[in-house]
Amino acid sequence: MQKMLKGGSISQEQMVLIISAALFVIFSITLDSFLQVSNLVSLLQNVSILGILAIGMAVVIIGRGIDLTMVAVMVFTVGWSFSLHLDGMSIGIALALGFALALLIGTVNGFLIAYVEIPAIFATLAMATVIAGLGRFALVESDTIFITSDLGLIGQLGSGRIGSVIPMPVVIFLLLAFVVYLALRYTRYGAFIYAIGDNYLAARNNGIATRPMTILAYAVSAAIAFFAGLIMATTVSTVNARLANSTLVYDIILVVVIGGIGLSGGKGSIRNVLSGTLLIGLLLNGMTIMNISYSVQNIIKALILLAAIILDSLLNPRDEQTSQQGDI
Amino acid sequence: MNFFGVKSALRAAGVAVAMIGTAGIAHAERPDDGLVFKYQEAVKGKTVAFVPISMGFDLTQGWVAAVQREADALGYELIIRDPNWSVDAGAQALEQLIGEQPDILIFHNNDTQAYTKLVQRAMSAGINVIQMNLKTPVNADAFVGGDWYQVGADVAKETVKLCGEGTSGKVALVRGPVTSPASQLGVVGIEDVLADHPEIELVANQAADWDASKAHAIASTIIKQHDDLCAFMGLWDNMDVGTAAAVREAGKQGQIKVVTEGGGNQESGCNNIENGAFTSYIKVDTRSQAHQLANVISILLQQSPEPGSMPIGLYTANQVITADTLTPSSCWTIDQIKAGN
Repeated sequence: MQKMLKGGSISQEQMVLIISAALFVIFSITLDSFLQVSNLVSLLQNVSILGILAIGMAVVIIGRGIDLTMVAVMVFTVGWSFSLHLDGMSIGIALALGFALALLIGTVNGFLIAYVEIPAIFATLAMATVIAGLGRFALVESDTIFITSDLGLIGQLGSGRIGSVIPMPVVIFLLLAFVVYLALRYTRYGAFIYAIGDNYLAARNNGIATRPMTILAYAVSAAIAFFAGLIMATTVSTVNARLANSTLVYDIILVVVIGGIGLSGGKGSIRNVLSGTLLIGLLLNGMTIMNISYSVQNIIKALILLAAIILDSLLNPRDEQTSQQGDI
Repeated sequence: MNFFGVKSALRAAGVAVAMIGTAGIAHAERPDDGLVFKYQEAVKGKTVAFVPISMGFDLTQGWVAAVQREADALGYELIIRDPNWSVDAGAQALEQLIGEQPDILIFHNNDTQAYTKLVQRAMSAGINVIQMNLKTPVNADAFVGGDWYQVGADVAKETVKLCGEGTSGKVALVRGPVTSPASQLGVVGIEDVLADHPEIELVANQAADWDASKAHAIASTIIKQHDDLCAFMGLWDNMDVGTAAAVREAGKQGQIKVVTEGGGNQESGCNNIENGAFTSYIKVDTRSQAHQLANVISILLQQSPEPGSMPIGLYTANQVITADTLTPSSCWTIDQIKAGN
């Protein structure tokens, strides 16, 4: 099977694109208003926040980590910013404080993983609970924060449109994807992250500052989570802190893994995130149009995640070199 | 320290036989109307425990504001254990509280079935039980809260009114989680009303998990699919702000109506009626629920009936608010409830 998949010279990413193309054709033929510009635009808009979060997650996963704090960081740092703003602080300072908090949390995550050497999955799982607890205790008063004031230009992040057609979240998603693509591909920091993800010890022996790089990766994912939260908040004029209890973080991992970024690190690129996001967007859009019930939608999503993970372990088998203690 | 006056001591002696324990020294200063001391005695020093779904949202904050105010005034203790949306943590907190034997235990059921056994256990342990806003299939001493079937029915009736002649008659439903009593019963209410109105076509029925951004995604897809949609029906304002945002984004505010339900919080309710996000709003008034809850606590503390022997129901009367019927006092803020308004 493994040979067939590899020998057949078809990567998981290509397979996802083929499945996406097939779904696209099927939906276009069978669903009435699927193939119209406005629907396709809203398809992209509806997954752009998920896609942005997945870009942050991808950076961490490529460096052989995982960041389960992303959703908690997203809702509580942004929630805190808007709470401060609603209490009278100017929006600029409030957002700067929220962003600083996100960076701080990312740095703590990275520190716990790089220096205290706690496996990423446990460190971030525990941190997610800490953030949610702290958030409920000290940062936000209510699970739902209604943004009642006019935010001007910042409000446009979520609800604005370019040329009155393309929603800002989509533009930001694509722009961010491009920037992170360039950073991973053409800067030495990008190369370092691949090296660390591929073989941590070898990277270290070659003089890469593996520990600071790990901190950088988690700080980046936390920063991206903050921006995703800001876009989400300005789209619906609310911050929903209950999302911290939801399964959204697994949806983010779903997008990354489905696109073909191996959980064992060192592989994949932002292109994989784009194809993963596209597939999920097509599925969600199609299932909503078909009016499939919520439970069945969950089953379909879960089965796809399972299939992607099985495929991942076939395409990227564990061996003595890649599997280590504390590995995810 | 006060001392008994001769007159008041004589007056107090008249009812002393009927009283359990002794009247507080501070109370003895006032004239006795035959009941007030008994009333004060019955509630003072008692314990009332509440396990909400979460303390982090407007409804629970509103209820607690009123009950806490009364607890402070009357001298009973209000214990709150917040499980923060976790049914498991809630069950643990309830188990623990049953062991601690408060006089009254207030359940707030996020899930229709999950706490059924615990309600029964608490009552057989001799604790009076109130079910707040969301009910399990078993009866306790009291239920205080929304009549969710009727709420759904009222949402549908408003929608039918808005989507009659001259419209497409196409409506979409964005519901809450499958296991939530409010959503479950509300959806049945909606379906029953729509069954009598064949001119209304339910073109989509999707769950958004009480999450505004999920509702936004679903609504924006449905709008693209049904360009001539007449209305969205929702079952909670906290979620339906997402639906309203999608309608606004599509430039169809006013054309596609949003009919929703909520506790009447100023921010999530009336502000959104005023700015046109919600067309019609079924208010299940948290403020009056909060006062009813405080009253029921007071009644149960005074009577302490055999648990479960005389179940009472106080179903909140629904009120329809639209831009035309909106007044400055249609909604409330937590601070107002805290101040006793």
